[in-house]
Amino acid sequence: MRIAGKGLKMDNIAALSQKLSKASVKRYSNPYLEFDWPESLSEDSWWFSPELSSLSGTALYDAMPKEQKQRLAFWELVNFFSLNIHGEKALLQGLAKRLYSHWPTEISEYLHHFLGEENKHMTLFGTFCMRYAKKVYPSKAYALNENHIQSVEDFLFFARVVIFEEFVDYYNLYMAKDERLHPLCRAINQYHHNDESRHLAFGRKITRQLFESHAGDWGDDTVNGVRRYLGDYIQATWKEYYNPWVYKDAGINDFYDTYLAAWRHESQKQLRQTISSHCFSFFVTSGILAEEPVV
Amino acid sequence: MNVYMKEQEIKTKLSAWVAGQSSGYHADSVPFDLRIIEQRIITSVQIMELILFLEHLRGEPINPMQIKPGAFSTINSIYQHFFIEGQAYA
Repeated sequence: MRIAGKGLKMDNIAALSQKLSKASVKRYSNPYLEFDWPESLSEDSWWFSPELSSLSGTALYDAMPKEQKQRLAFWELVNFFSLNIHGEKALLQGLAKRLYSHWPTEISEYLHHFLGEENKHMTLFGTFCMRYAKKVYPSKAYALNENHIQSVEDFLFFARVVIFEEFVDYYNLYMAKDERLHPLCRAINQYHHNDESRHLAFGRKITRQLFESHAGDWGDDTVNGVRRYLGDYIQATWKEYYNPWVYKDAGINDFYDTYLAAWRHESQKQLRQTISSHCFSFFVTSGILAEEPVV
Repeated sequence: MNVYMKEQEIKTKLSAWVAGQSSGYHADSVPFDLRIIEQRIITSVQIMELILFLEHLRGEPINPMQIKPGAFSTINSIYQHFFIEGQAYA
């Protein structure tokens, strides 16, 4: 069996890992001390940037009174934090599996930081959701059993990390800067973004290296299968941002039909494409995807 | 509405939904025992859509972590898992 990582330019990744480890040590933070959690939240605040709402641009959204838009914004933030929790749970499992495996020690050292930082993010998201919403929305992702060789599994894991974190980071950065939003919301988004920039640097590097090192050996069928898989994963990742139960919690009666209409709405397609463009550019310029997917 | 009618109605709606996801089937032409995963009529992305559709039919959320293996094999198994044994999935 071919060992994933054998043909990798590991010196490059080890050097980047060392640099990122130093940055993680320098920026080490304690979210338990950094955040003040109010007893309750004011209902007349913005919790999610209106332009990023999964209903923005629809006639239904335009017709909503401000109070309902703010209520929707709160539940969209709970959904955003929930999908972060589910994404990071899968991330923690994949990172832990790769600690002290077949890669240089420097990589494991950075994976420890990566794991620790992701765990802290989940603590923040979970605290917010359970304290103020009394729930975390379940993920709708359901994986069918798929067996891949080790090199494909490693590649797909890090490619998923990049896709998931690229989308999330767009929201984090936008909302951290949005002065209309409640300070707690901005602070959590800023905190997440601060670590994600390092995680993305690592994720992009290793994803590209894994593909360049192994794609030549995979054969056309496997490369095409990998591309199909990534296309499906991108669609599934985006679907999590459209949750009928969010619309129900925001007081919308026809919440399932609203979900169907929102996903298909032209302004939402444009929003998804805009948010995805940085991520897609990486995958196309790396040669991983032949062309930018339409989402 | 009697139980049998309810079962027929739900399975017919599921059949129409599956047909809508895949070319080659008309709304009423997907057999209830067709192996929809094995025959790649439904993909993993479409399962996410299917879960949302099932939630819509049931009127309550489903936690995918509690779904048993094989639940999505056929329309019959979907009905059995989500509408007969369905309380376990909420």
